[in-house]
Amino acid sequence: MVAEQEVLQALEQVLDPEVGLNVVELGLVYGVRIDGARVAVDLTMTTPGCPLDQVLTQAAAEAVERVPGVERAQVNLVWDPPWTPERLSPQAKRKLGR
Amino acid sequence: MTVGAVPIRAEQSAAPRVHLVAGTAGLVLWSVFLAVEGRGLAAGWLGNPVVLTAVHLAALAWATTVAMGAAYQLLPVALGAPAPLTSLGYLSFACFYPGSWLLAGGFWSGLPQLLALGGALITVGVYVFAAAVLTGVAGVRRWTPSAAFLTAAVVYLAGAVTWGLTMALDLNFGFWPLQLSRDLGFHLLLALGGWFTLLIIGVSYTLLPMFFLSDRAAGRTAWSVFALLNVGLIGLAVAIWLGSPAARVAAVAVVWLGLVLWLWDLQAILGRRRRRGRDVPLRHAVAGALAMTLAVTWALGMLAGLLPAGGREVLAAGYLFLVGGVSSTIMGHLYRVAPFLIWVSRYAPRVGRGPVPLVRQLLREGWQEPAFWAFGLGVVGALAGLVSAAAGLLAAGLILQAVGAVLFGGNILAAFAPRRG
Repeated sequence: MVAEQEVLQALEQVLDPEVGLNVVELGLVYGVRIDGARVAVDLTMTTPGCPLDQVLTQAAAEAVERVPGVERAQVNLVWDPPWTPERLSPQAKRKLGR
Repeated sequence: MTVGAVPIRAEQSAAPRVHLVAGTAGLVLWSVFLAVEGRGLAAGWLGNPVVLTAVHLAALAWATTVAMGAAYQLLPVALGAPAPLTSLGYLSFACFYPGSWLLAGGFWSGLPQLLALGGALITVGVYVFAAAVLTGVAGVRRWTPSAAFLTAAVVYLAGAVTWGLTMALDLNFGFWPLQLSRDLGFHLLLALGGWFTLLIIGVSYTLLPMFFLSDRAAGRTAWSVFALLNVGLIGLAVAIWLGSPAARVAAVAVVWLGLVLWLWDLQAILGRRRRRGRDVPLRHAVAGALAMTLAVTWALGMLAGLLPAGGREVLAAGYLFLVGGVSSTIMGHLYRVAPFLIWVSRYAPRVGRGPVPLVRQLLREGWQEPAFWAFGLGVVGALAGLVSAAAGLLAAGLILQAVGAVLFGGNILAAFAPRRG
């Protein structure tokens, strides 16, 4: 059985190349659903129309599919609720505040 | 750093990058031209070929070319709508950019035929660009301040080039009852007030919260800024048409109020940003906003008769707006937009196949600081030289400004250069 924590750890390998932070600490991961060997991830972007959406969603799917026990990962791009900087993790806020 | 495991196909048009490279080259060449020919500025501004050539190179071959390239790529972000017809970018560029140089050549050589040819090419290029933008605008579902600013800016741009072409054709065929102060006033109002001011404010409301992760987004204040600027600009057009000095002062005062409100909103947005550093791109944007507002304050003081309004002062205020304001702001945004586009086109397809750099690593950070200070101090020196009629100070300022532009341009162009591996 795949654990949500394993999925999140895999997603921590996916970096936003502009900000330099991963999608988990940026607060872009809105949800993870695990159904046996199938995993669905709800992912948002910091802004609608972001040119990186294709890059990040596909990278997230590939990262999750590398988790042992995962056969298929599906990443859904979602926009509701819109992302705000409030969603940044405390660790991310510390890094950005330097 | 790796992300993902499978190569991603980035289907990016090269049109935005072509614009950014050509526009950056335009900045370097224009700055060098001004450094070499700057002594000619002392002859005043009206009908001066040095001023006319430099202004049109700066406004068209540099600033508008870059703005068009960035728009082709980033309008989906600003409009919240599907991408514009980027394929039209090649056609608009093929007309607009050579047209800009032909027009500048026409001003330099005094050949009205070149002015007409360059102006016609520019106008076709802008109409194609406007058509591409309007295809994006047609998909806007919810109007944001940025979408409104950018749409209005493109309408003003189309008006500015149409008016400019009318004047250029009149020089050849003499069909228009030209009144220089009135018709030049309309042209400047549409280009500087409408196109550049609304463009820069609209872009600031999109890019600054996005790149600096601000908690505050464009809201009611931005709509108030939009209303004040458009009311002021339309009022100014009417005042110019009527030839009423009092109405001109009132209209410019409304524009000035809009700019001051924008500055207040900008500091609120940046005050609530999560990326706390004061890097060079941010300083460029802030310096540009301050310079634009200061230039309009200066113009208001001159129109109201509170400040000397001779040829040197008018030229200096225009220089402060276009170079210290518009150019500085665009340079700041280009530091973020250019490497971002390079990353998407060059490294997105490699994600998962090996390490890829961060966006900021594509530029030489060590060049940014000296470029910023050389350009900024150069602008200050040239301004002081213009106002005080000190030829040596003016020349030194323009040379320093060119050094800053060359460092900036070298940094951006080197990032665009093809790399092995």
